[in-house]
Amino acid sequence: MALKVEDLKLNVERDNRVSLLELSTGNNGIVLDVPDNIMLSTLGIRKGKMLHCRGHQLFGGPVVIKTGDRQIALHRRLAEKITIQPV
Amino acid sequence: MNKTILLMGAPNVGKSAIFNRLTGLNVRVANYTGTTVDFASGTMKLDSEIINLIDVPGTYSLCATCEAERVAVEMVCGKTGKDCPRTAPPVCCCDSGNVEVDLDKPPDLIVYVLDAGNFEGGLYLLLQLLELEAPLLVALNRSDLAREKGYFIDIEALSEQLNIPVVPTIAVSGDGLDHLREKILASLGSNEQKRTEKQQLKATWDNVEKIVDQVFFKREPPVNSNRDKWDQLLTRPWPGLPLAAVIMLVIFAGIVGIGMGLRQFLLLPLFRGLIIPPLVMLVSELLPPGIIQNIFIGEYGFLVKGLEWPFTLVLPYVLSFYTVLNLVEDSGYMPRLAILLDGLFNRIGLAGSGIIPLTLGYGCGIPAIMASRSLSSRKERLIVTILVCLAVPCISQTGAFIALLAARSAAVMISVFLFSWLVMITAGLIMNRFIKGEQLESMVEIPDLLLPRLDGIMKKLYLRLKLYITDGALPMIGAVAVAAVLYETGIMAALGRAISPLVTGWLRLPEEAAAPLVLGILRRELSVLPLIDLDLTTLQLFTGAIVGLFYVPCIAILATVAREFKPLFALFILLLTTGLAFIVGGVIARLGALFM
Ligand SMILES: Nc1nc2c(ncn2[C@@H]2O[C@H](COP(=O)(O)OP(=O)(O)OP(=O)(O)O)[C@@H](O)[C@H]2O)c(=O)[nH]1
Ligand SMILES: [Mg+2]
Repeated sequence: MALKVEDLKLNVERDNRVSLLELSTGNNGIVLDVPDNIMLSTLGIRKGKMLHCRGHQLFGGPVVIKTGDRQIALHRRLAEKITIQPV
Repeated sequence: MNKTILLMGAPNVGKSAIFNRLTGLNVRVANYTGTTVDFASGTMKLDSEIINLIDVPGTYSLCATCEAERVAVEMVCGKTGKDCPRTAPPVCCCDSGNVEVDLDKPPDLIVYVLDAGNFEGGLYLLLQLLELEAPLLVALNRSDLAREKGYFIDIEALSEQLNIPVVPTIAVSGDGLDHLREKILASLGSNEQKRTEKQQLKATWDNVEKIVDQVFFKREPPVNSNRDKWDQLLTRPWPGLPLAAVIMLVIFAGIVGIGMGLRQFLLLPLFRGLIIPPLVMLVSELLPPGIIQNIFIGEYGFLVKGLEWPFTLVLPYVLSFYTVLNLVEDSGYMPRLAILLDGLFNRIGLAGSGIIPLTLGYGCGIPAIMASRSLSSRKERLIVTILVCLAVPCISQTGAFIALLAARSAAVMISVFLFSWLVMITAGLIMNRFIKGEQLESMVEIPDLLLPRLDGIMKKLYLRLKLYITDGALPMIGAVAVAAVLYETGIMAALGRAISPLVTGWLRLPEEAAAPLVLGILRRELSVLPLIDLDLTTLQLFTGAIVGLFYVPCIAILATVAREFKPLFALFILLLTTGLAFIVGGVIARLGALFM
């Protein structure tokens, strides 16, 4: 899948922003930056959305998150490209 | 000219369920994304008017991300003669797709199916369609699930906002369908729908969120059902993975156990006791002994083996397999298994959702290869197709394995399956290295767990049974008749002698074992069944079974591969499977001889 990844402009002042991959199970975060990918948007992973991490699968498997009441499995590489602000 | 209605919506919202209700047809319905992979058309009668209805694969937006979604998108975009709005760079990956749809006229109406239990999921595409000024009507389906989850959707406000009719429905029970029919008729009647009075909503996420804010309400605190507890148990690695192993074992045991029971206590007594003897008696009265009589009731007599094999050896497992598969499919467990195994599947070049076509392959390879359309890359499609052709026995062949092996040695039977998985993993690892393709970055929505409904399961089983009779049993009877002729005329023996160096010399099987190699080209189970009556050693049984497993997938599968990909690819599969069958078979015969 060809992803057009928006350059992640890291903002040094906000040093507690992490990638979605680093959000630990049971915690929430708000999406700050997300690759421009229509699939992600339609799955509800858009700027400003609250995500809840349901868990990480083994063997390098996906991260399972919840947005609203939708449950979504995201490949690690994708999760890494999504920047969030833990809350 | 009949009017045409297109059913569209996000994946897994119940489009096919509504289609079945409206047309009385029966297309596949299952609780995961990507059940429908091609369009289906049917007709319904409304007020003495015949209307065409088209069901397409679910899609989240007008930018297709896989072959299946393309089918849907081309239906609208092609028909309205407008370019797909590219709100974002297209993530389309199926550059090689060649789905051709006859697009002579735009649909007269699009019935847009929204899932009330996952309200936001379908709104973006709905707004895109509104932007295209397609004539629309919304069916707010799965409203029973929404109620259960404590959601309330203000239908009037929604209808007002969108300026189109909205009808709540429950496709599985039929509630609201009459109302939907009325609205369809009304919408078709008031053709030139004018929406000019109102400012057209643009397809933006702001608008999606505005609609959600204004019409969607949730009871607080949310009702926490058992569903969430089950979901956690099944979806987390612990205890999800051990549970998955247990579930797989139960499924396997269930299929074999129920099948054996059906055979022993129902189908075998029925056919051996009641149906075949009178037929044999009749034929022996009518026909003088000789070649002709033998073709009917001799060794391969198609009134004997031709009935016993399809109906007492294979049918029991068809019934047990599809009962279990339907339960698993409708529950929503498949996508959960897919994410549990995703990491492992990545190593053989597949996303976890590859488990769905592979599982279907244990029923029949054709739907499996079709279902691979919902995978997001060509590489994944190729890998799944090769694996299915190579080492996934269809249910007929599994029935044959059970008949051949289970009575002699359960260990051999289990070894055959273990060996097939070993080969699939090896083949997957190799293909992952050598087939070019972009990196996997899958994202999937995990659907709600649903309690399977008995009426749905029974209906699907009945359809399977009908399909098996026409597409499985009848061809099998025909193939046995061909076998009977070859056998009785001595052609089989001649063929056997011709390939005897291969059979006796290389595979170390008796000369009669040439028969399955000849017949196996026609049908997959026939590469195994003729071995039953031979007196084979355990090693020979294993060799024969393995050769049968890898040998040519049946003609129908090759035809499907040629259609879905290229004829050349089908030829490649033919050579690969046959070649591998002989190489592996010969090696097993030799290695095995060292230990036995
Ligand atoms: N509870 C409930 N379940 C429903 C309803 N309609 C459909 N389902 C279930 O939802 C699941 C999906 O239904 P499908 O008809 O296969 O959905 P689809 O929209 O055709 O899905 P794709 O072809 O994958 O895009 C199945 O398990 C159905 O039994 C409904 O009104 N209520
Ligand atoms: Mg469908």
